[in-house]
Amino acid sequence: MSGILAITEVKDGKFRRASLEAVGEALRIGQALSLEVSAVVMGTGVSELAGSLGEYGVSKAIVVEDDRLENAYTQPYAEAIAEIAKSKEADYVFFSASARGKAISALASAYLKTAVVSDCVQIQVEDGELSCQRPVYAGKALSVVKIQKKPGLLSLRPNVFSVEKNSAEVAVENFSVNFSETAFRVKVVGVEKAKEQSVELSEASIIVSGGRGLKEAANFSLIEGLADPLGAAVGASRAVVDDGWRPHKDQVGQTGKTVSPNLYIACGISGAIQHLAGMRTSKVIVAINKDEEAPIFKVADYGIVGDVFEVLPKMTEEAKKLAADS
Amino acid sequence: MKIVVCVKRVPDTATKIKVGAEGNVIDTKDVEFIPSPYDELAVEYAVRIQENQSDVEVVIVTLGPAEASTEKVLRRCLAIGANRAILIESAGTDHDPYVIASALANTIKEESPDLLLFGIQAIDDDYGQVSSITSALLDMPLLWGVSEPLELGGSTVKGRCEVDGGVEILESSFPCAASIKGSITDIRMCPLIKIRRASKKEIKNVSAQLEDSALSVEKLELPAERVGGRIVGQGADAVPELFRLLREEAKVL
Repeated sequence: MSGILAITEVKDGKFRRASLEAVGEALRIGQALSLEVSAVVMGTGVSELAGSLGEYGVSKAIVVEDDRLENAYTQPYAEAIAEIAKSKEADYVFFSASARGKAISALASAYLKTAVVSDCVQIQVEDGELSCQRPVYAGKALSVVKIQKKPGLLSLRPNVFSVEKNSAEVAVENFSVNFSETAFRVKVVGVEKAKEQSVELSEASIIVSGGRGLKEAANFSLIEGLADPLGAAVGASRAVVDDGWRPHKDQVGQTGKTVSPNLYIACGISGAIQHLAGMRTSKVIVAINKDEEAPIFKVADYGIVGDVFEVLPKMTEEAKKLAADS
Repeated sequence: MKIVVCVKRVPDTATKIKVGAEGNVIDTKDVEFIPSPYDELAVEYAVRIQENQSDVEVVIVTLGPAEASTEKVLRRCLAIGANRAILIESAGTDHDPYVIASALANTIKEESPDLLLFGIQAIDDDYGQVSSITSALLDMPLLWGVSEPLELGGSTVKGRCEVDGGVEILESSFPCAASIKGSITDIRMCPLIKIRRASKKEIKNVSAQLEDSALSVEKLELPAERVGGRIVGQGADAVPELFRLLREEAKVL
C-alpha cells in the first residue's frame, strides 16, 4: 500500500485549523499524484471526531485512540505516526508547522531516519515529485527543497494553505500502536493558557505590532486597544522585547516568530532588516510611523505618517465601529 | 554533571542575503558569522547552571568547516564560560537536519551528557529539528521550546515550554535534552578576562560521519520585493481613508 498521511491535531475537542490546512493540501497533492489520503487522528476520546472529517473531503481516517495519550507529550504521537507510516508504506506525511506539529514531526522523522521539509509555503508536483518552497533566514530567502528518502515528511506553515469544505463518507480504521517502554517518560503535568493573548501570534489572521515608537511599556495598552476590536494578536519588535516591555513569545522577526497574517499593522516600528524578515510575507502591511524615511514604509502597502499616540486612538475608534456593524 | 550544548555557526542577523554562484546556497563572502542566537542563549543558560552548582562541566559541540570563522564562534561560547569545545569537521553547514543530527549524536554519545541543550532553531535554515533528531538518536527525552529555567531535581526534571496559546509544564526523567527558546536568560557582556581565558581553552577537532542526505536544496531565491511605499496620509485624519482602503481595496477587514 502507499498513500499520503495527514496528521490532525485535536485541541479542546476540535480540530485545530492549521492541521485542517495540512489535510486540505494533502488532498490536493493526493489528487495530483493519484495517491489515497488518510487523515490520522490521535488522542483520548477522538473516535467520534474522526467521522466529522468528511466535511473537509476526507474519506479515510486512521484513529489511534488510547487513554495514555491524555497527558502525553510528543514521543508517543511521533512513535504512532512512524509506525503507521511504516505499516502503510506511506509516500508522504503532512503535518501542520504549529509548535506541537513541529516538535512531533521532527521526532517522527528521527524514527523514520529522515528529516522534515518544515514550514512549507508552497508545494508543487513536478514529474511526479514534490518541489517544496520554504522560507529560510526567516524569510530573507526562499529555498526549494526536494525529498530524497521515503516517506517524505512535510510541515505546512499555518495560514498559508486554505481549508475547503466538502462532503465525503469517512471510513474509519482503528490502529493500535506498540508504544516503546520509554514513550511516556515525559508527561504534561499542567497547562497555563496565555491570559493576555487569546489569539495565537503565528496563527492570527490580523496582528497589531508595536515598537520603540510607543516610548514605554505601559503604552502597549494602545496596541491592545486596537487589537481587541479587530480580534487581532499583539506582536512586538525585538527592541521592545530586549527592553523587557513584552515577553519573547510576542516577538516578530528573525530571532522571534515569522508570521504571515492577512493584515499586519506595524506601529512605531522602524523596520530593521531582522523584523522585516519575520513579517514580509503578510498579505497586507500597514505602517504607522512618525518618520517618513522609516524603512517599514518601503514594504508597507498602506502607510500613515504620524504620531502613534494620535493615530492609534482614531484607528481603535474606527475598528470599534466596524466591530459594532458586523 | 556534564552539560553538552550544540551550537551552529550562522550569518549575523544583520546580513543581507545574497545567493551564491551554485544557486542553492548563500554567498558567504563578507558574511560575519555568529553563534545562532538561540544556541548562544543555551550556552549562557548552561554557564548559569554551572555558576550555581558545584562540579558542572559545559562542553560545546558544533559541526562546521575547520576555519577561523568557526573557531571565532566557538571561542565566543568558551568566553561565555564553557569549559571546552569539540568541532566536528565538515566542509559546510548546509546539511539537512538528519545528517547534522546523526553526526552530532555520534560525537555526543562518547560524552554521555546528563543534560543536552540546543537552541530551538538555527536562524539560517530555520529547520528546528536537530534537537529532536539528535536526542531521539541518543534515546534521551526532549523538552522542546523551554522558555524558563528547568527545575533540576535528581532523577526528574520539570520544564515550562511555550506552545501555541500558552505554557505547558512538563515532567521528564533525567538525564534529558532540552531546546531553548528566548527569554530563558539574558546574554551578559563578556569581560576581557573571560575572552582571554577562552583563547587558551581546548577545541578538539574530530572528523564527521555524514549520512546520505534526506533532503536536497535545489534552489535558493530571494523573495520578490514588496511594492510598498504608498502613503495614505498624515496623522489621525488619514485613518478613515485607511480603513476604507483596507475594507474595499485590500478586503482584509
